[in-house]
Parts: sequence; structure tokens; C-alpha cells
Amino acid sequence: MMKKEIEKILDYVQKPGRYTGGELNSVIKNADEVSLRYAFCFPDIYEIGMSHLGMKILYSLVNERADSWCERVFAPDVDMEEQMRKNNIPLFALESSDYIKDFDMIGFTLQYELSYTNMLNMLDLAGVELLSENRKSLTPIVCVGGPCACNPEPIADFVDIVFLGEGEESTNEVIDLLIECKKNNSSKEEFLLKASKITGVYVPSFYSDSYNDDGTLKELNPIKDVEKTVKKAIVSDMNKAFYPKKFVVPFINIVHDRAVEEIFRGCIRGCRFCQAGFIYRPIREKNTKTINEQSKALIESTGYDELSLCSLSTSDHSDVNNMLTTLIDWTRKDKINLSLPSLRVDNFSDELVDKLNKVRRSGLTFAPEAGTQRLRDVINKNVTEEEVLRTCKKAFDNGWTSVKLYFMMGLPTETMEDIEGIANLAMKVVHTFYQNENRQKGTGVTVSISVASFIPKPFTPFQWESEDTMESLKAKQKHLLECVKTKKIKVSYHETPTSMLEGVLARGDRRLSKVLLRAHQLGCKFDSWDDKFNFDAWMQAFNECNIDPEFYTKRTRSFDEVLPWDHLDFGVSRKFLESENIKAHSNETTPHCRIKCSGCGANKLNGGHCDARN
Amino acid sequence: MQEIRVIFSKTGSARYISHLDINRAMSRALCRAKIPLWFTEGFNPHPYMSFSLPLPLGIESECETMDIRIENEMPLCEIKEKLNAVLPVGLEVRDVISSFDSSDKIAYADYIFYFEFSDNALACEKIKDVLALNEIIAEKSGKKGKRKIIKEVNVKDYIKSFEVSETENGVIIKARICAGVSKNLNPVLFCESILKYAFLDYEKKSIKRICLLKSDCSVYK
Repeated sequence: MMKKEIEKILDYVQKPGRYTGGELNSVIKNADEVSLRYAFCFPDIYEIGMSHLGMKILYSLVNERADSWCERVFAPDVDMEEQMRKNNIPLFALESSDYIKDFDMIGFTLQYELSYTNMLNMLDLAGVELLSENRKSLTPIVCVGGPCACNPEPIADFVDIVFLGEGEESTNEVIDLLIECKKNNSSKEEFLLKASKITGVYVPSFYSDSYNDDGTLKELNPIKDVEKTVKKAIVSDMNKAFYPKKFVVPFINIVHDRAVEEIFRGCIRGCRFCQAGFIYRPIREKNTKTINEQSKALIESTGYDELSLCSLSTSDHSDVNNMLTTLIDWTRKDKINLSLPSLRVDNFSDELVDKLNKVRRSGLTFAPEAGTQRLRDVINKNVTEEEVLRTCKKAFDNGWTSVKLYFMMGLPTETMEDIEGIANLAMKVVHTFYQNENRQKGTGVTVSISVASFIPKPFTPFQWESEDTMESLKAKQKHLLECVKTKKIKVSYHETPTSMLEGVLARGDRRLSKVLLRAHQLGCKFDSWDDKFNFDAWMQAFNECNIDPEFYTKRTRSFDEVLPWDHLDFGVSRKFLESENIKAHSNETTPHCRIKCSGCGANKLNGGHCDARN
Repeated sequence: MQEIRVIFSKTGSARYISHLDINRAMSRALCRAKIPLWFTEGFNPHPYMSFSLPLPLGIESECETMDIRIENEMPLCEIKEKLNAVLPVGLEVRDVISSFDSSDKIAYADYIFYFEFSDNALACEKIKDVLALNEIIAEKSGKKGKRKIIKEVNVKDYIKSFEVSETENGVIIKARICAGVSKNLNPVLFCESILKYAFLDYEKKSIKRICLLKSDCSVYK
């Protein structure tokens, strides 16, 4: 039931549907009958947070338990926050509209670094102490998870526990423990000590940091009886792992408003820039039967007319043709649109095109990532120009008249020649269209190239690299525009100051917590929104804290340097990442995991098993 | 193929579902309920659905209508039961009928406005005074060609009848106002202009559409 004071301010805000709850399949329980209340927070607005699959999984997982109630919380938009602050309404959860400061666990999922200030703003709005050390009582426990949690050091001062890796099992173990500790009136420290024994649980306050004279990290050592390195958690069998039978179906339009079926975790490719490709290893697949059953259940319970497959690379599923045939079979009959994201140019087979022709036609997007073969070898993209052009030809044969190509800018060893390569490749795609006899007549071609700025991320072979400067990126963007001579090619790219900040936070250490706190005090929030990002306030925060952001971005680290995430074990060994880095600099590629196992070490997390090698 | 009208209510937090979003929520509910919908036969087949007189955001209703087409005959009470089993909280099917009025017949709508003021007795008197005036001028945004313009309208011209009364905790206005394609008054504009004329600020407000009527004041169905 909505509180009267909340109801009143809804008259004054845009899209009140973001704050009312009551959506289909949202879970309502009796607060007096549960032992633990969990506020699952996504540090961005409703439309973005509600599109996130991880939240749907963990929401259902916790709510399967009779003793716990998990509710959703999103960052209120600026107008709502203003109303809440004006009327002294603290941050509330959508299901009960109860204030989250009274919950037992407040969990944030960190999908991108630029959402850190939103997390602080939400805690502040909730009336919860920001610094972990100032929260003396057992509850609320503030925890984080998600991909950015693989280097949680910049937010170490704010959080009590960090979930490393996949939360399906560790979340339940932590909940069991917290319920027990509440019963026994344990102290927060007792709880944290016991929690740190659970696989995938890292307690930052049990480690202390020290630095060398040059500012680099000296060591991060345990100061309590805890392991020196903390291992991430994984689920070993995706066919047996928990997957929701229901999604909360929003009333308002959200970014990804559809049923989503995860088809595998991990990736066989090993593209050297890609964090997801390393931190989700080893690859674990769902079989075709499970995928069909789970998708059908979701469509039945939600009434969605669209189903999307989710993985890092759809066409890399080992049973892709059979899987798609079975899915297309029933989705067509039930008038469900099937969408297939993340296709690769090197296995865009005739069978796959045939399948794509049967589902509703959407745009085609491929990611060559770099403009020249040399640079594609550096990043281990393992895609050739012939493959790109052959795939585009196949698409044009089948009636497509536009393709979208993704590239990156600012990659290690990149020169202006590589930038020109982007324009040249796009031009060759245009030529491919006009040289094609089978093209759709009477219409032109559109090649959209979208260029993202590369940011070196932890747990990738490029984690030691320097980040391209704002000036250099601007010059490259300008050069690219000059190289594009036709209106058939459309170029889009991203603003650079946010990339710089993302780079700092991605590979930052614990000293950044005070910068974040200061930036929050200066009003920074929604940093990922270009119109709300306040670069000057951030620079002021760095200045006042005497921290040079360029220390984190401009420096090439040596292999000897202790990295702020070295005490966290994501399965892939440091030795492997080092050898990949060396190979990158000699333009050497590494074959993907199905061709040959390159011994990254991630299979030891799963008892030596990896689905790439069966 | 059979065309039917679903009459449903929209109450509680469902009042924050906008008109467009209701469309989507209903089409998903029809899928979950496995109602054998008739699909349009164009390039992009979709179920046929039509709603009469959009309800502004934040207003409850007892009398929303949705016209759909179904492929096979299905008992009307079964459609009602099946839909009610899958609808989200706040949306409820009241009736399903197979013969109904065309939406251009709508001429009036009955609303109940409920307010809580700090001094309800005083507020009630003030509202009565305002409604006794000959002119209550309000600004209404409209369009002239593509340009957006502000028009002045006399709210009083749109009021067919009204009744103001004080209850235990608040004030109730029951009003029958013009609705439909030819002459329409937004209920939000109605209550805002009255409150403005009476210099009143409420503590709680709720508005509910009770029924739609034809020009002879018989119920639109």
C-alpha cells in the first residue's frame, strides 16, 4: 500500500508509474511474517534498472524463500528527488513503500562505474550513513555486486560486503547467516567475519592498504582472520541454476521490455579489451531443452510478445542451429517476436540467415571493433575484413539495406592509420552493397558506425595499459569524420570527459572513496547522463582530495606493480593475462577456446570443467 | 470473428498507468488469459484493440471500455473470469458485452472529486460559492495548426450538473461534465480551476470517473 505522503507528491512528478509498484508479478508479502527484508537497489532510474536481468534473477531467488522479502528500489529522477527531499520522504522500496533504512540488507548492483555517485545519493536519500564504519549496528548491511564489483576498491569505504562473481548461491548463504546473526543478537563484526568465509564474499574493511613513494599500491593485507585472496563464486551447472519463472512486468515503457532467456555464461572468444569475456569465465551453457522450457514459462507468466536471447555471443552456443529451430517453431505459432542479439561475422552462416529471415526483421549489428587487421589482431578480435564483407554481402542478398558497425577508439598501439581503417572498412561495405546484383533495388544503403572510447578494465590483458587522453580521442574523432566522404556512412561517438572518469574509477584504488564522497557532496549524480554530468565538480573533488586523476589513466603499469584487485581471484590467472598482453604487443592472436584451450585457469573454479571443451 | 466490449475499473495504484500503458498492459493480459484474439492482417500483425475516451493520468475509473475482436466464439462470462484471473492489482473487468454504443455517442461523464482540506467546512462553502459563479475562466492548452496555443475557456459552460457536500473527513464534489469528441472538459482542469478560484490547497485529493453518458443522459455502454 502506498503511503499517503508519497501519493501526494506523485501529482508533481513525471511518470509516477516509476514509483508506485503494483506491477504484475511483483511480490507482496506480510512484513511481520518474514525474518529478513532485502532492498535490491539499482543505482539508476526505473526504466534502466527494470531492464536488468541480474536483478530479475536475484529478486525471484530471494522471494522464493518464505523467510525473506526482496523489494526493488531505483534512483528517483531529479524531479522526484526534489519532492522527496522537500517533504522529508526517505527512499522507499516499491513493493511495500516502506523506508529502506529499516531493511536488513541494502544491495546495489554495479553495472557501470558512473553509477557510483547514484549509489551514494540513494543511501543519503534513504537516511543511511554513507561510510561503513559509521554504521555500527548489525543491520542494515550494505552490499554490492555486479561486474564493477570485480574492482570494488574505489567504493570500499562505503560497503560492508562485496559479492564477487555470481550471486545465485552466495546470496542465499549470506541471508541464512544474517537471519541467524539477527536471532543471536550478534555484532556486525561477528557477522562480517562469518560472511567472509562464504565463497564469493569479500569484506573490504578486513583489509588495509599501504602505498609506495611513487603512489602505487604497496600491499592490501588482511587485518583480520580472513583469506589473503578472495575467490569469486560461480554456479557450476546452468541447467540446474535458479532462473525466474516470472518477471515483474512494468506498466511504463522501459528500455528492454521483453522476456529474456540467458543461454550461456562466459565467452569462448578472449577479445583482449573485453572485461565480460574474462570475468564471467568459464563458459557454461544451458541446453536447448532448458532454454525452451524456461522461455515458454516466461512468456506464459508475463504475456510478453517478444523474447530475446541473452549471452555474450548468441551464435557461439554449441547447439545454436537446433536451439533456434526449436525456438522459432513455437514462437512463430504463438506470434512471439524472437530477437537474436550479439551475432558475430565469422559464424554468420547460411543456416543462421535462414533463421533470421523467419523472425521479425530488425537491424543487423556487427562489431569489427578496429579498422585494420593489425589492430584487430592486437585486440584478438579474430575477425577478418573478408568475413565482415562476406557477411554484409549475405545480409544485402537477403534484403537488408542497412548495417551497423561497432568500433572502438583509443585502443593500445592505435595510430591514425587504424582510424582511417574504420572509414575505409565502412566504405568497402558501401561498395559491397552496390556491387551486389541481388541487393534490394530502389533504395540506398546506410552504414552506421558507432565508435566507443576504449577504457582499460581490470581482469583483462589490457589492465596494465594507459588510457588514451581526451585530447587524442578528440583528434581521432575529428580525423574519422574527415575520412568519411559519403553521407551513406553515419558516424556516432561518445563524449570523452565521462570516459576519463570511468577509466579512473575502473582501475582505481581505495583512496578514491574520499573523492567519491566529495563529488557526492558537490552534487554529482547521474554521471552517465551527458546532460547531468558535471565535469567541473568532479575536478574540484579530485583537487580538494589531492588526487590526480591522470595517475590512474595516463600511466602504463608494469607487470611488477601490485594492482588494487590483485587480491581478488576471478579464475583467470594473472600469468595468462600477462602472456596475452605480451602477445598483443607482438600482434599475435590466440585462438578461441573451442579450437584450443589456452589455459586461462578459470576452469579450476568449476572443478576443472569448462563447456568449451566438453 | 466477434467484436466485444470489456468494461473495466482502474483503481488504486493502477490510476498511475497512462492511457498508452493501459493498452500494453491489457494486450499482455489478453495473451496470458489465452483469449483467442483476432490479429490484423497487415505487414505487422497485432491484435485489434480500441479504447473510448482516454482517462488522464492519476484518475480512477469505474467505467473504462476496451473493444477487442476475437476469432472464435467464447462465452462472455468466461472472458471476464479468465481476464480477472491474470490482471494486475487495480484493474478489474466488470462486464463483457457483445452489443454496445459507438464511442462518438459519449456526451457527458460523471466524476466524484474527493478532497481533504485543513478546514473542510470552510472549504466546502468556498467551493459552493465558486460553482455558483457564472464564469470560471481556465486556461486550456490547444493547437492551432501545428502551433501550441493557450485558449481561455469558461469551465462553467462544460458543467451539466453538480453537487457539493461535506463528509466526515473531507469534501465531495459530484459533477456531470461534458465529455467526448465534440465538447470535452478534462476533470483535472475542472478541479484545478475551482481550487484556484477558491484559493484552496488540499491535503489529499482523489478523482474517480463513475460513468459515461449519452446526450440524453442514459448510460453509455
